[in-house]
Amino acid sequence: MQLPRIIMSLFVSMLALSLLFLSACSIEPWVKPYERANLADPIMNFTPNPVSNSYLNHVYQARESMRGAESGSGGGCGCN
Amino acid sequence: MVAVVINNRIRNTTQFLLPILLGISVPLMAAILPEDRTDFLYHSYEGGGVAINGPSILVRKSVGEHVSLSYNFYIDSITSASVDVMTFGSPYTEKRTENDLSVEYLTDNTTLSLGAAHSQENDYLAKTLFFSISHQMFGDLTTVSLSHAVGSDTVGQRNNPDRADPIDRRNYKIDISQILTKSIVLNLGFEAITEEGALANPYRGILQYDPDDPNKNIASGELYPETRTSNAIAFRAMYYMPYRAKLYGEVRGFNDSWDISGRMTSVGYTQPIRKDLTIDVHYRVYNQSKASFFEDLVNIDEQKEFVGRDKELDAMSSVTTGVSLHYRFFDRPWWIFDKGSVNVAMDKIAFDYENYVNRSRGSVNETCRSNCPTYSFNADVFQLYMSVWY
Repeated sequence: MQLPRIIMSLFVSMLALSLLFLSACSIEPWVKPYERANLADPIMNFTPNPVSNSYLNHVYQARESMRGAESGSGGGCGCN
Repeated sequence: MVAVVINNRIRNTTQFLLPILLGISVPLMAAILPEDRTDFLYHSYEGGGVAINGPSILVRKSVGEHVSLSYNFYIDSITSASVDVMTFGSPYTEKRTENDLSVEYLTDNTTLSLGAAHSQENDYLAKTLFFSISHQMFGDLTTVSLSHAVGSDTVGQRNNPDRADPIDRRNYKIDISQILTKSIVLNLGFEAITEEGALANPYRGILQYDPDDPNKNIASGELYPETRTSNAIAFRAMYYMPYRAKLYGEVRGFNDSWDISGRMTSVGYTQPIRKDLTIDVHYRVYNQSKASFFEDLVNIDEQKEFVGRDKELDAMSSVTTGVSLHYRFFDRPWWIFDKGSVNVAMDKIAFDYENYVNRSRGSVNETCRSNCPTYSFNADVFQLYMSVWY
């Protein structure tokens, strides 16, 4: 599926702005602080081992064309 | 003259390591600085005639209650006799060294990060500056991160000291994490990357054939566009099982101005076996279409504006199966340390190409013209690392 780049960029920008504006509103959190014990478990992390995760991202980026939007990763590849 | 072909796609990992230092792994609770820790990693990759190994050392330390500093040192020691090397050059060895430094500043629910990375080998220099801002909202249930990176590379060439071609790069990323329930967390990421400059490999070439002479290939230089723009979007989820385990998955889509489209799907499962031992298994599948200008073999009579033979630009797939073990060898404070773990991870990746043929010198398919078997290989990835927190 080919996503028009301009449309995607506008969507992301509007989404970010919307969230920033909504953050000024008072919203009652539906998961109370005392209900977040599971989330505090060390296994509940998208990148529990950052060095290992980043290394694997590098392995794939160096051998596949896809790049960007990796978990725990914020940059692209200068490889050619 | 011995021509040396270097797999440039392995060289620059500047942007890969920066986010570790910047804590882009978005926190799920109230905004806090990253944990103080040090990781000593040994990494090894073997496959397709390439062997790469080396250390990666991460040191992270907070200063006061608002500032955290991170430093990462990384080395790739490369021995390559890949199919590209054996087609256009000779086996070689090389070393790449990278240093990354970053600082984070936490105020209320906002984290500001600034970092720099420097990667160097004998014919490639990469420098990157990185900035991000992360904010938690809606009772700390939602975290939004915006990131921007600016890269400046210099592409050199062995035996050509005058060559110093630039590549300019820009990354723009937004990342949103959402605690959905007390057991489910979602993450949505989008990143756009633009590059301009010397994007072709100075060592790799294309292969041409003369229809009147079927017994040889003619090597010539690649012709790449001077720009490349890509977009990637990813959706991730993880679920905390009632008996203490984690089920997680990811789908990611990609497309770029070279007409490459990619799709990745992965699933994984993390299970604590004992208080001090955890196992993780994961499976990943990736597929991509080929670049508009990729050609395995070109008719010498055809005139093309752009043409390249990097197999990573071919229609291809990869399938990964992996397992890791994590042993917490102490979890009570000892001396200056709070806890420590020893970890081992093994992944096997199967690569398969739809058009690329192994035409290395002397190979059985070097001058194959029709119904040629396409290239595939398996790679083994190994990691051994120790982590300590303090």
